[in-house]
Amino acid sequence: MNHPANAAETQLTGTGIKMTDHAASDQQLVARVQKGDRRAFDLLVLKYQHRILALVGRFISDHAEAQDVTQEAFIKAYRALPSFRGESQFYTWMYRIAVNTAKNHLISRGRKTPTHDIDLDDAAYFADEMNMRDVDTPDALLQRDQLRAVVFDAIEELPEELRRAVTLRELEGLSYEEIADAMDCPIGTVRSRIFRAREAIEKKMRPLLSATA
Amino acid sequence: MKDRKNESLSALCDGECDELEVRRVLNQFSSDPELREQWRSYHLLGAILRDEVISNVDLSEGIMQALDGRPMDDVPALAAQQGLAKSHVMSAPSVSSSAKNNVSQWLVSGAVAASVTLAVLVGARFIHEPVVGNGAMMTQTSVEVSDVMETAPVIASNTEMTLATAAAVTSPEELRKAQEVLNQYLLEHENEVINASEQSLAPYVRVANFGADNKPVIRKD
Repeated sequence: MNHPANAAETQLTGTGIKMTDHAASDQQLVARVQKGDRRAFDLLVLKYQHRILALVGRFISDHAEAQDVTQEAFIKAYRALPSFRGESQFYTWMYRIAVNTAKNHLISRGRKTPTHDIDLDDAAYFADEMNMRDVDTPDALLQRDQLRAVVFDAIEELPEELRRAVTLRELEGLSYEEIADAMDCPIGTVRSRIFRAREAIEKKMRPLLSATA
Repeated sequence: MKDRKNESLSALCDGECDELEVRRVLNQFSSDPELREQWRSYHLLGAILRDEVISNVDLSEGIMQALDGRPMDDVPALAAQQGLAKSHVMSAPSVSSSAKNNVSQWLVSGAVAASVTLAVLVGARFIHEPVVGNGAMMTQTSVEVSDVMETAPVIASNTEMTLATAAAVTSPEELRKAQEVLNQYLLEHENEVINASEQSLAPYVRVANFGADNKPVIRKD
């Protein structure tokens, strides 16, 4: 499965622009956690909890059980972070811990583990597949669909330069420098445009998010 | 100001912050809980755009609460877990390097504790040394005493315990005598302080007088 965001790790677009490394932010946060800053780990959890929960959900169908195992996986990752040397990306490493934790959970309960591993690239992108959708309540499903609609509407309403900057970043995975080249503007302008685009979209999302909370 | 904070957060999402900016953003997280929500929203909207899995579940608070009070380097437990599913493990974190970390962290903790103890003992010794005839030195000692008292509550509490124990085992007569001795000691101490202050001023008075007309001034009372 080849998703645009995965391409960030693999390299080129059709225009030959080199893709940025999506893990740059993770590396910075991991470095801070290794220096004892727990807040940085909180940010990593917020960033990856849904992906990891979805991954664990492929092994464990019970949603509450999957949440417990996901939580356990993050706790193990935190405790093991001092020995994380950054040879792989944080998500890849976290993925392995989550898979092993899920398998061990099944073994400890005398259940069968899957005979095949889930492909790392596929793991994060199966929103249309069964596991997550089945366990969500109709209300949650409705909220999620509304949220998607709101985000895409907000994107449509953005001024052209903001929309282009944020989609080049979020969908194509380009670095600020590459976006600056593509849009022929300074890096500071790119940074500001992406921020303003996010702010505008987030403002539209907020009522739905607070209703969910 | 808030826009600047959020712009830094947005840049951090994209890994476009330098180390200082990362630290600044993380520091602001403690004082501004809204930043955390902002971070969550930015990633959520990215996930929606990329058609990734999204969910309304938030496990982060539970995870952070579970981490409270837990050490960060308890890797053997993780390695044991990974050992169970060894055939599926692509690579396990190095246990030996973690064990080395444990030992070195233990040594560093021991060294810090020893340094603190040494500093407290030296400070306590300095308090009990007699002060002789120099006002400047007396002032300096007073400052040292207050610093040590603030930073070494253990000594203060020990002293209080000793006095309390003494009060419990002595008779009222003995206590009265002890009070008299203490009062006498305080009076002597006050006299010492006054004398020391006068002695410390005297050299300055002499120098000032010699400087005025090159002759010592003799006061006639």
